[in-house]
Amino acid sequence: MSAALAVAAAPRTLTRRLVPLQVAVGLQGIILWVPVEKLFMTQIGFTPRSVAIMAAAYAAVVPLLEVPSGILADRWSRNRIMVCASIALLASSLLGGLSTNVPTYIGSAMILGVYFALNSGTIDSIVYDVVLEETGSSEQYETWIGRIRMVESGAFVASALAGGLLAGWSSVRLTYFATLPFVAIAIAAFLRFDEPRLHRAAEPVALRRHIALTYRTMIRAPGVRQVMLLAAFVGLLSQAVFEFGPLWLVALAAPAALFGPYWAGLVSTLGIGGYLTSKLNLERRVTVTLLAFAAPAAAFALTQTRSLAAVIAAQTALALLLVIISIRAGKLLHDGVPSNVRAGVSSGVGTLSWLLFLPFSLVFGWFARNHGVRQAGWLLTAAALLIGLLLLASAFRRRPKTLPASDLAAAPDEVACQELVELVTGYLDGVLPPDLKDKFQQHLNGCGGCSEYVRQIGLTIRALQQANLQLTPRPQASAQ
Amino acid sequence: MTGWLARAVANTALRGEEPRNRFARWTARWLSPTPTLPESRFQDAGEPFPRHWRRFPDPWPTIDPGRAEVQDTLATGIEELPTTWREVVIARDVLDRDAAEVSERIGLTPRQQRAILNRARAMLRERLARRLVPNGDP
Repeated sequence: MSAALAVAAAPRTLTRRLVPLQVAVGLQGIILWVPVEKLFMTQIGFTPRSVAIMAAAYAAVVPLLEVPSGILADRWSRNRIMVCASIALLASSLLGGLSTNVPTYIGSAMILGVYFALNSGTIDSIVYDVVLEETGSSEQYETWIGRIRMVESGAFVASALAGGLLAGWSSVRLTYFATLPFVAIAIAAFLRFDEPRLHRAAEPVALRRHIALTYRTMIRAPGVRQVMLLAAFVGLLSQAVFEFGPLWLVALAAPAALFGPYWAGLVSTLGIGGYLTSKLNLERRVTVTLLAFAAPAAAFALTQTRSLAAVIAAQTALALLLVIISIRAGKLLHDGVPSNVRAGVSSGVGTLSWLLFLPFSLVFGWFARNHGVRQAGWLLTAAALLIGLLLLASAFRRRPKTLPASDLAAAPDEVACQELVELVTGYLDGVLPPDLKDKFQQHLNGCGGCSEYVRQIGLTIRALQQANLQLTPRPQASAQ
Repeated sequence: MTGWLARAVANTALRGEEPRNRFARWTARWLSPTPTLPESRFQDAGEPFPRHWRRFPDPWPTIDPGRAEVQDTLATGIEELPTTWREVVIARDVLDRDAAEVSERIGLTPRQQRAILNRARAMLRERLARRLVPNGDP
């Protein structure tokens, strides 16, 4: 109970600090040309073949740039990477709006790829570190990233509606230029945002070692590897739902008018999922287990039903569950990764999910052509089952953090060094419960490493007491 | 009937919450999912003593805490902390203010205040260690 109360309390500084970020993300999500892009492309002479070329060019840019841009964000500044991303979006919209032929538009699509690559993994790394800086722990990460996803998807939905209206009322081309001011204000908001500095607190490392460290974290650490796989498969499956979901409607000969509301529903799951995540307690194994079973069940429904309503409901539910699981996976990933490689590793998820999606989409296409879309739903079900298993594994591997499953009998009698390090301040403040305090002392008496650590913390505190430092008030703070 | 069902659901949910033993339950509230020190400092599950130091922190030479070298290192270290961490560590350790008062003034729960102080101290200790034992394990 008390834990739940503590989680609910967001410090003023955290709430205040994340305002400019939410404004920026919201404005960046107002891309008015998205709903009418296909229309514009046919107007300037795209054929199915050139659309495919564009998709390929685009697909090449994003995975190539994602991890390098993440590493750059970790080494330089995550905020400025977001500013660069906005500039890429600005350039892409401008060039797109000015295009009168296919090659120029493909150029603008590739710049859009740069935008996505820079964006990928950056916002969630920023949010994670800000939450850690303002609360000392990551418990509120899911709540805040959920809110930010909500703002983002609200902007997507609003701009989809507004873009359609604007195009109908004036011209399709105008939607590109009308996007520019929003992005420009987003840049200003990013510049006002006080970015976290934890990733720079560590000693500077040579670029080569930093790159090696980023890849090593992704590949070697078993916990991280498993969660990366989970996150990547979630990315793969949600992309598949968005990309192939409409095929079910086509196969069932849905009326054209249904596609708009259907799509709006699918996109709105991004926000609703974010909202639900902020309300759910995903530390609960029960909740996680339900999620792990519900996702394959929704995918399974797609292989069984011939009813249009059921198909739409199943797809929406699946998309919603995937949003929640992806936020959870992001939390677990960030928990296992140090600040200084956070954005790099987090971008790695995007790349991995691209790499998995390419073969998946080929197999899906082949399967759907030969056996029908409904049967291809089995591929989605298989992916959802895998996600469910990985999610369960993460839930049941994580909780006994305090005690590895192997020595259940031994662990309750002691605090290990890794726990002791977390408990030092509570111990020195005299607020540990008596039992825990005893265990702490027992361990301290028997462990040379820990007694040295605690002695050094004590010396640090004594040195701090002699420091001649004053509290400099925050520039904007009117603390009372 | 509905009452019985609701109770059954609530009980099942609670059972899921129950960690496997008493000890895990207390510590769960005291430990943060984000470790204060890098996990690489501690042994993995496959090693002889999981969750224990891989190598002990190297002992420090006897120091005078007021020495300029120490104070300089701390000053730079504090400068690099996130704003809220800096506020907490200065209020608690430099100005020796009361924990409850500091939490209240900055708008943190006592638990958040303690977690931040624990991390800030650990970071400053590491800086000092690197300065005092240049080639050792901090």
